[in-house]
Amino acid sequence: MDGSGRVSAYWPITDDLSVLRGFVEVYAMQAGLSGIRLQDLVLAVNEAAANVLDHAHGEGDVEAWHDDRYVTIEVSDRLGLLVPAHADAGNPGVGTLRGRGLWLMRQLCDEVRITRGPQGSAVRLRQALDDTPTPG
Amino acid sequence: MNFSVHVDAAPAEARPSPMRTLVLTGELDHGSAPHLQRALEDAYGDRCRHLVIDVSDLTFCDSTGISVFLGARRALAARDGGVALAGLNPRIERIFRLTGLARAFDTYPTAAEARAALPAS
Repeated sequence: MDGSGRVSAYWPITDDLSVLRGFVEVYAMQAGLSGIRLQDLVLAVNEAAANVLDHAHGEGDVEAWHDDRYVTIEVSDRLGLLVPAHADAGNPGVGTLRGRGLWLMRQLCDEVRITRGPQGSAVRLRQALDDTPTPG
Repeated sequence: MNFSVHVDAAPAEARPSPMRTLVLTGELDHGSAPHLQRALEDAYGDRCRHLVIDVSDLTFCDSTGISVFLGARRALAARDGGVALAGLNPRIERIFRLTGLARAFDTYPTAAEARAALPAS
């Protein structure tokens, strides 16, 4: 709550993404997001967590924090297959059945950043609390 | 998991039929998409060529759901058929527009209108 990056919520990833969506929605709503931008963040988190289920043995967790400007949700796995360049994934188009999660996250959020460390990979999704898109 | 697929039992769709209507309710996501996939495979097994999918009561759809819709489009295109989507609510329309699905499918306000637009079989 104090903008220092302190984690203020934590949820494990399970097979039931609807439960996670509910947690994220309540958290981001209480932080001040609403409407389409709230729905978009919830869908983006869902996409990142679905990637953990599909590609990282389902082992990961979700951390959330916010200050007076941003809600930030970080989805981490333990496998570390994602690298920062994956955040630039292009639109696969409707001729391709799968692999649009990361591209979609970028359409939905103000900022998508991937970090990779010894613990695994993390996708950081950030939504500004006012409607003004934030640079970089 | 709050999701169901209802196969519309209109008389014109007595099995086996080249046309089938699926009515989706609830949240279509990573966990529930296999239910829709099974309903689609049932339809393919019954020689379905034209599918109408009523999404008016669909409250959520993620990229896993989108993959299933695109797979149906591909499977039925291979049979010279197709998929029509009916009743896109604002939430579903947004995700379909973002991903290009709104242009990839014929869309109709209602399932009845989608059925009426199908070629006579």
